[in-house]
Amino acid sequence: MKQGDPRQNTGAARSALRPSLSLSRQNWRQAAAALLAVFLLGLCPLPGSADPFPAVIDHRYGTTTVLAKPTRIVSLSFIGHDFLLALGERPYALRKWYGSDPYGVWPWGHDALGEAQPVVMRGEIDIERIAAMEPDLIAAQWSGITAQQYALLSQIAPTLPPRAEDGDYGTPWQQMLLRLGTATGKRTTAEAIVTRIEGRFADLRAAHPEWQGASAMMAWAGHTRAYTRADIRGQFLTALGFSVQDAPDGQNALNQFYIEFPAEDPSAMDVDALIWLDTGRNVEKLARMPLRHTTRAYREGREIYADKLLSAALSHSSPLSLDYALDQLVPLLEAAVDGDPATVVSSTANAGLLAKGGS
Amino acid sequence: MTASTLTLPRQSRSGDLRLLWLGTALLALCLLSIAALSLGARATGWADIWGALTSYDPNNADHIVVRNMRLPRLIGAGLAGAALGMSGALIQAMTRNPLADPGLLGINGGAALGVVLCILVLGVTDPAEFIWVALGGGLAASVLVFLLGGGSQANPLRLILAGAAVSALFLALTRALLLVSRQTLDVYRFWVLGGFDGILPATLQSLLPFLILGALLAIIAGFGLNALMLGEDTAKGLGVRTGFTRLIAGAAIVLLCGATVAMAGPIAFAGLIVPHIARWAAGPAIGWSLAFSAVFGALLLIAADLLGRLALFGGNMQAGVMTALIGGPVLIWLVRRNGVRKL
Repeated sequence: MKQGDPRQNTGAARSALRPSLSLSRQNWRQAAAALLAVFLLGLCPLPGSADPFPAVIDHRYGTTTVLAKPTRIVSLSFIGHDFLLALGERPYALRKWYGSDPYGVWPWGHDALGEAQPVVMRGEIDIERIAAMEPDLIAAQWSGITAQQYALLSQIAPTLPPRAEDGDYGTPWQQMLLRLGTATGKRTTAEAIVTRIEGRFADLRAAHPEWQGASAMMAWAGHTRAYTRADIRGQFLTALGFSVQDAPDGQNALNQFYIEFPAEDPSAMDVDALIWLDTGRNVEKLARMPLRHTTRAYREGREIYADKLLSAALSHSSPLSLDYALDQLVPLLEAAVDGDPATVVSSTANAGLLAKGGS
Repeated sequence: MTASTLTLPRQSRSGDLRLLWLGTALLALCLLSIAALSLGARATGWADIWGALTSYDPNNADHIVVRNMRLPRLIGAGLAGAALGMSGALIQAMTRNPLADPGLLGINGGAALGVVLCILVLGVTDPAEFIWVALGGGLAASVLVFLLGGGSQANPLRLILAGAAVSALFLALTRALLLVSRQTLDVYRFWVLGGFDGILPATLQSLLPFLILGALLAIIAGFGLNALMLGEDTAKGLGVRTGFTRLIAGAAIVLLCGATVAMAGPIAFAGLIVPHIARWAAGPAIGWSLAFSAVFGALLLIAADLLGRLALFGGNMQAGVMTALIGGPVLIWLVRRNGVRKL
């Protein structure tokens, strides 16, 4: 266990402080030089040249301070490695979510990953293994870590859990990225990415007045439960101007990221654009959903079948996957929302899920 | 499952009285079935139910709900309950152990391992595709248990030990595989609770032959088991081929229980508790206790599925969970009131 490390760190910090408390002449000279350096740095007009460390980040379990630029990042978040890669940071270890890639990195992350071969973690969080990796940052937004796990992990290295106001899996992609940007000293890069992608969403909103306030929903193929506005997939639709249902009152809204509808009466799922997410395996299950063909969404061709890649891009909602998701989904949404069965939603047609009699 | 069936006198009773109670239970089954067809998240009237059964309109949402959702669930729960009840009665008689459960023969463990391998290796996520691997895994595990338990020479104790060992081994393997994949866990977690959510008529059709064959074998085994319950030597003295009887009973249990786990996942408790209630009403004779177990099992599972559907607003408590929630208190009450009937 690396639980000795923090004590060493505090010891080092204390000895670093000591000279400034009992100043000898030599120390005076050093202090003056340091002051001068700080002064000169302050004069430099280069953007982002101000030392971003120590970086201080507030979160639901307290505050984390990253003292120096991390070089050995362990990413516990199921989607967080995408965000690190977007910032040009290759994680030392990452947690594989799903998919056939050996590193759990989907096509949109391949270029950024390059030749790197991160350690792959699967299943439950193995704190001892993480300690052995000697990380200098543990990125754990969208990881579901508990307060107890945080207490242990933060003794190994500065650990970054979600914000207090977000659920375990509800941190908006902007916050995921900005906070990782702060922790890795790349806040400016992060801000630039956020501005660019938010701009793309804004352009799409402006170009599609018919989407504004229209109802939309993402659900897993064949199931009568859908993601709420608090989920990242709900946030994606909201960012395009759609209205997405919220969790019913009285439920724990923070971690209530999906709503369950009665299989016998899924009328609430009959929205203007209904996106069926899938691993590619549930087309048949979707096709035989008993009440599906009685819905307006089915008759009017408002259903979008999202294949494995598009579903994963939406479920990651990362700076790398959002562009792919928008490229794929926007034409499908255009064909779906018009409510005219004649404009065929191509992905739904390809999966053989279009209404009979529709062209 | 009504209280009246439980307040019968304890001593063995005449055939007429048993027939009366069996009739009452069947009547209760009919009433419960009507309730199961008419209750649910969508309000349906008598006309809808009648229409759905007699003149089905595939575009009428109410008809679809009754015919394609509630009816398959009802039939599935009824068949599974009857099968679990009968196989429970058989295994308790065969092992002469009132705590024996059909799951003891490793069927559930084998089915679970099959399902997890199927999710993990083939990437299957649709429970409708699980039925053959679940059935195959269950059959394979039970064959292993029988071989370890001594084949046709199996004595009850050895069989139970072999079953427990194989079940534990398969469960451990299943858990080890689940640790590897979070997605597999999600699909498995749903399956392992057991239930009739989204059951398909096609599934029922393809499993029906196994259930029918299992029921026939159960009846055949019943003749020998009556004598076997008097003890190995007495049975032999009466001219019963004990090894053959055990084999037939074992095959019946495996077919009934395997088809059930393939249809609905491992449903806890029904196979353990139903025979106790049945013996209480029917006496120890295996023929009667099989018949009562079938009817009571169907009653229990249909009730469990119905209550599970109605329990959560719009949500769904799986029948496997409800069975234990209903069955647990009933068993405790029964044991405290009357003690367990000797086998």
